[in-house]
Order: sequence, then structure tokens, then C-alpha cells
Amino acid sequence: MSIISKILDRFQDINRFERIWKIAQVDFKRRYYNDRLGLIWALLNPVLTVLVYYYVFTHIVKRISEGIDQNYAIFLFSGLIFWMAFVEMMKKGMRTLITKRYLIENIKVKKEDLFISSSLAITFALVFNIVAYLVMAAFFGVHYSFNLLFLPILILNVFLIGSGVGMILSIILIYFRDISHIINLVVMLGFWTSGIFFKAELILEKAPIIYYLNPFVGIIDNVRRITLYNIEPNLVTINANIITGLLIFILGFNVIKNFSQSAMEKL
Amino acid sequence: MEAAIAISLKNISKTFRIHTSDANTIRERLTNIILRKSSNYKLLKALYDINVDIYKGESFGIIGNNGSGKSTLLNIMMETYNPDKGGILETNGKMMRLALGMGIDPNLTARDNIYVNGSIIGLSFKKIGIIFEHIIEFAGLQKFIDVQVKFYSKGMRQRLMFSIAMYADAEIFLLDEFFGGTGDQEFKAKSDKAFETRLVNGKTNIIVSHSMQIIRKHCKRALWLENGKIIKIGDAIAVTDEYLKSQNKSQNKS
Repeated sequence: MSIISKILDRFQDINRFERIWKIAQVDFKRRYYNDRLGLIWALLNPVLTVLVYYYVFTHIVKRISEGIDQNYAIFLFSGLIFWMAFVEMMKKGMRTLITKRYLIENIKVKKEDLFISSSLAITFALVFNIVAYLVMAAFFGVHYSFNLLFLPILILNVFLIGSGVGMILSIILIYFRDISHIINLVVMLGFWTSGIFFKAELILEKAPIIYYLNPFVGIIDNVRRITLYNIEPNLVTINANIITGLLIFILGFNVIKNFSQSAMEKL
Repeated sequence: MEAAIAISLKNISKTFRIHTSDANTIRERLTNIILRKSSNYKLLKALYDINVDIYKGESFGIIGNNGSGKSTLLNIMMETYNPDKGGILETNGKMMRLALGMGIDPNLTARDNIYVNGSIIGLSFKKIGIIFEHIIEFAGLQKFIDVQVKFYSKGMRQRLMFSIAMYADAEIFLLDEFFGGTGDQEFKAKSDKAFETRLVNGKTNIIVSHSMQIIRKHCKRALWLENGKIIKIGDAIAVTDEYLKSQNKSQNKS
């Protein structure tokens, strides 16, 4: 009896996986295929951002880009795509209960799945950007090694943090509408303190608190280690960040499970 | 022989907190705490002690004026809202709510909508692939499979939703003012027929409508809600008759 029910559970899980996949795919399509330029936008956005900062930090405020041996544009790009993916996961996640209301009210759906899907869709775009980045970096003379195999772990890490934070904020947003001002502030803070513009060592040296508090310092540093510098990743930060990510994700998961129904009433 | 229960509601009440001063922001909540103002809200009771059993395979009507609590009741059945403490809701079977303008994403094609809805309700991609043609054919949308739904007419959307629900193996249908909107005679005949055959197949329909004709045509039993209370429950014709009488009375008064 229990074996049969276990097998049935397994089948339901397959359906659940399919469902998450499908909604992610559809989200991705909605985002990128409705425009004429489509997927190019996913790439164009970070590229243009990089161009602006590249110009500022290599022509106007040169000191910031000094001491970075690699091509500074590539250096920026590697950090920026990961950070932007996180911000987008968070912002999309935050609004999921609203944008997916048409489904929630019509078919019984596990709301967690909707958040996972929406972050998954952004992960697709991130992977696309990473491929573009790797090609560009190779063009600028970067050599790759087996260290690249750590990349999926870093992508997973962004996914865990992004979707977890999205789930938590989606509920908070309904009770505290003005949280969005604070979120913008935090996003800006993160933007300047995640080591997108400078090396992680600099942060460790000048502001160790940020180094230990902001998981993105470690994530972006590890991205650069395995792609730009071609050295082994920092295993301590990888482990610490994955654990942080898992905790945030589990917290978000439980927040959605316990509070989404009462939140729906206030929508 | 007792019929199996599809949905059972026991002591279901629903109270909404309506905030008079809308303390939805951090600033307002903080000032409320500092000034020791108890946050201002009114309790609005939308449903009072609803007890009803809906049996498998039956068509059950819900009638009542606007604001009588019909939508709240449906939202509780769908588990979108939590009932107040003490209420027990039991549902047996996959549910799908059919309402105009809901359930389908206008920015997606019919194909994507079918897959999303189908897989949420619990079908595998394989199964959806098998029923896909039937859905499209029943809805008469062969030429528009890969067109975004936003370009569809109201009737076409309705047809799409109805046929997804039909073939997607939903066992309990919540039809929320779903009929009466379109004048498509051919589809109406089709859906009427589907209704009759579906009843044979043992599916459950819960029909919310302002049209007494629809309730009488499809339902054996009905429930009349007013101000969140059950006024009458029983034979559909008797309930609708009484409802219409009271409507006439109140019209005559005014």
C-alpha cells in the first residue's frame, strides 16, 4: 500500500516539475518574445549599463578601475549579470501574487510553484547572458578550465536567494505598501557593495562587515575566479552562500505557505 | 443510497477586516503604535454559518443579489480565502472555476494557455498532448491556436475556457456568471449538450448566476444567499420562485 502511494507521489512530482517548467517557459516567452527584439533585450540591458559605467570608471574616475588586470568591461559584465538577475527575480517575485492572480483564483495551485517558475524564467535569461559573457571573455583572451563546473552552483545560489527574497517580499508588500521605497534603497546599496565595480579583496580590506553580510560579494567574486582569473573558487564563501541561500529559500517557502491566503484577501 | 459528497461546508463564516484608515504603510503603522492608536478597522461579516453539502454529479445553483456573499463563498471553496476559525471545508476532486476574463492569460496563445491550465490541474504533458486537439476542436479555434488570446473575442475566450475545463478532467466546476454573455448559438447548443452528457459522467457543477432561467434549466437544487445568510436551500424551482417573488415585492415597495 505504502509503496503504491509512494510511486503515485513520485508521479505527482513529475507533474509538478512539468508544471513549474511550463509556467517558467511561458513567463520567459511573455517577457522576451512579445517584443520585436526579443531575447536581445536580455543582453542589451546589461551591455548598455556596462558601457556607461565602463566609460565613467575608465575615463572620469579612473582610480576605481585601477588595479584590475583584466579587461574592465568584462569584469563589470560578469558581476552585473548576476546582480541584475537577482534584482529581477526579487521584483518579479514580489508581484507574483498579483500577476498570477488569474490562475490562483481559478485553479488550485501551489503558490510556491508560481514563484519558483518566475525565478526559473529569469534564470534562463541569466544562462543566456552567461553564455554571451563567456564568449566575450574568450574573445578577450580568457582561458577556461574545469573550474567552470562550479558555475551551476553559483547560478543555483542566485536562484535560491532571489526566489526566496521574492516570496518573502510578496507578502510584506501587501501589508506595507511603502516597503517598495526601502527596497529601492536596499537594491542601490547592494548594487554598490556587491563588488560589481571592484575586487572582493578591496571590500574585505576596507569594509569587512559588508564582505560577510552581503552574499553577493562572495558569489560575484567566485564567478570571476572561475571565469576571469581561471583559479579555484573560494570554497568557504561558496558553502556559506549556498547555506544562506537555502535558509532564505526555506523561509520564503514557509512564508508563502502560511500567509498567502490571508494576503490574497487584502489584494 | 447516499451519494458521495463533492464539497462539504460546515459552519463556514467569513469575516473581513475593513480598515477605515488604511494602515498599509510602515509610516502609518509606526505612528499608530507611537500614538497608541488602535488601528482602525471594521469587521464585515460576509458569510454567516454556511452549512451545505454538494453531492458528486449534481448541478447546484447559487443565487442572490450583488454583495450577498456568492463570490466570497466561491473563493472559500477554491481555498483562495481562509474561512473563519471553526469552519470546515472538505472538497473531493479537482476544481476549476470558470469566470469570464479569468483563468487565461491574454498575452499567451491558446496553446500555452491550454498547457498551463492543464498542467496546473494535474495533467501530464503527454495527456495534454492527447486532449489538445479535442479542446481546440470543441472550442472551434483551429485557425487561432497560435494567436495570442488578447486578439480573441469574448465568445472565443469563453469557448476556450469551457473546453479546457471539459477535457482537462476537472471534476468540480464552479461556473461564476459564465453563461449568458455570448450569443453564439452553435456553441450554446454544444455546451448545453456537453452539460447533459457531463451530468451523466458524474461531474459536479456549481452554477452562480443572476439568470433564473439558467439555474432552472441546469440545476436540481439551489441555494439562495442574502447578506451572507442562507435564506432557502432546496429544489431549484421552488428556491428561484421564492427569490423572484421577493424581488418583485421589494420592487413594488420602492
